[in-house]
Amino acid sequence: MKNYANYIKTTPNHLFMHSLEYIDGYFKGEFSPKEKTEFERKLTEDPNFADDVAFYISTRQVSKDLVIEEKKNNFRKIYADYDKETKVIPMRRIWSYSVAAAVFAALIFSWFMFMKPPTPSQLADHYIKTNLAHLQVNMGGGQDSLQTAIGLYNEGKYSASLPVFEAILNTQPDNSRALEYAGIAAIQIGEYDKAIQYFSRLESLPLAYNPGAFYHALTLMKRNAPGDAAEAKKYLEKVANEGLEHKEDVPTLLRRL
Amino acid sequence: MSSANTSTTIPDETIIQNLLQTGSARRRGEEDLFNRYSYFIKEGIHKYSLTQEDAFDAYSDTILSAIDRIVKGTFEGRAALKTYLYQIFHNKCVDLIRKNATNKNTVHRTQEVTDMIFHLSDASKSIVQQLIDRSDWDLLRRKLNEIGQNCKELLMFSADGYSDREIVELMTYKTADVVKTTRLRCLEKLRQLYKNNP
Repeated sequence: MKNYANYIKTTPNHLFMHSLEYIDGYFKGEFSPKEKTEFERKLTEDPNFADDVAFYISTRQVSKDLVIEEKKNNFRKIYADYDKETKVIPMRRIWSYSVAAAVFAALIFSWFMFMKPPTPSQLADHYIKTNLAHLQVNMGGGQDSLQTAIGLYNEGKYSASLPVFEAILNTQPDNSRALEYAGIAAIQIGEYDKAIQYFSRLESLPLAYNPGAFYHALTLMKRNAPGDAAEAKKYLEKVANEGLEHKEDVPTLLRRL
Repeated sequence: MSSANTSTTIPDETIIQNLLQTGSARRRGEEDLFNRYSYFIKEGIHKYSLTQEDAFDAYSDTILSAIDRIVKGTFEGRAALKTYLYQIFHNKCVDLIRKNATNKNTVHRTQEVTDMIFHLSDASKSIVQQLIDRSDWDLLRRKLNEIGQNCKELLMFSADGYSDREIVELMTYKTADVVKTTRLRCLEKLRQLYKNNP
């Protein structure tokens, strides 16, 4: 590695290229504490050098602005294409869409005539299939028991994953992720009473992120025993009123419960 | 079928893994993440009474901010990705409601500056901040567009968080040292153009 403390002493200020390399080294984190102090001393004493540092940072900002602009334009294009696909109906296909609309209307009529609205259990099922098919893997997490259990769950081996989550809870009863995931695994294998126990324990923990109440409600909906729907509604209202985790999912469920 | 539809089925961890790659994999990760929760835009319109353009801005900024944190390793995965994104989106919508519409594009304006001067001592920070405030952003931007496509692309990759080693593959340079020298020369060239502007 370059000796920057010595480097700055021997580098004339007007050699901007050298100055840039020195500044680059600082912002890339290549300096020792002593070199950092020297860098800051120079910055406060040498206006030309301070100007170079300001230029380096300003250029970085402007370049980043261009990156962001380019990415946003790309997102805009993707979204516009998606919007167009879902909204624009070509005139030459209007006939086939009319037929489709008629069939759809017939289906809706049949639905009103013969079908019932989804049960709380079906609503919960839909949510679980859509949102809980995969558990979040720890960023950079090693091969500990939690990762092993998450791996089993994500492979669809719910029954095998639950004892591993429970083993973690035997030694760490307040491990919030193990409680959350043990409850979810228990729902998947129909152990609703057990799931409720885990979510109740989770709810009682003083956490910034606490999805216990929401999952408690979901389990009650899934179990759908007498009184469960009304109880689930109370839990969902609590999530919404207290701004708890998954509050954004509550309105859809409450509307149909 | 649009990718917006198919992306809703891609697991979050696959998207995150792609974001941690370089080049086309990372770009795919960015687009998949954008598509995955793009229904937030409708929610921004209905729940926060934003225009479609504002809701799109809030959502795009949310995704870009999340990508930045995932790539820098500051997203620890303690909350589900959806919850994490929704929190950012909610804050950005509230910010947009509070802000005057003319300021809405300034969400990212000083983020990079803030990140970079964070480690400086207060005395140095104050000096640099004053000088930065005097920068002619529009001129610098125009000159960045004039230094040549190669230089511009190189500086943009660097600003996007790619290391010199990663840029070797993205732009087919021979070594990271060559990338570094070229990058510094591009900065020097930009500085000359910026300073010599009549």
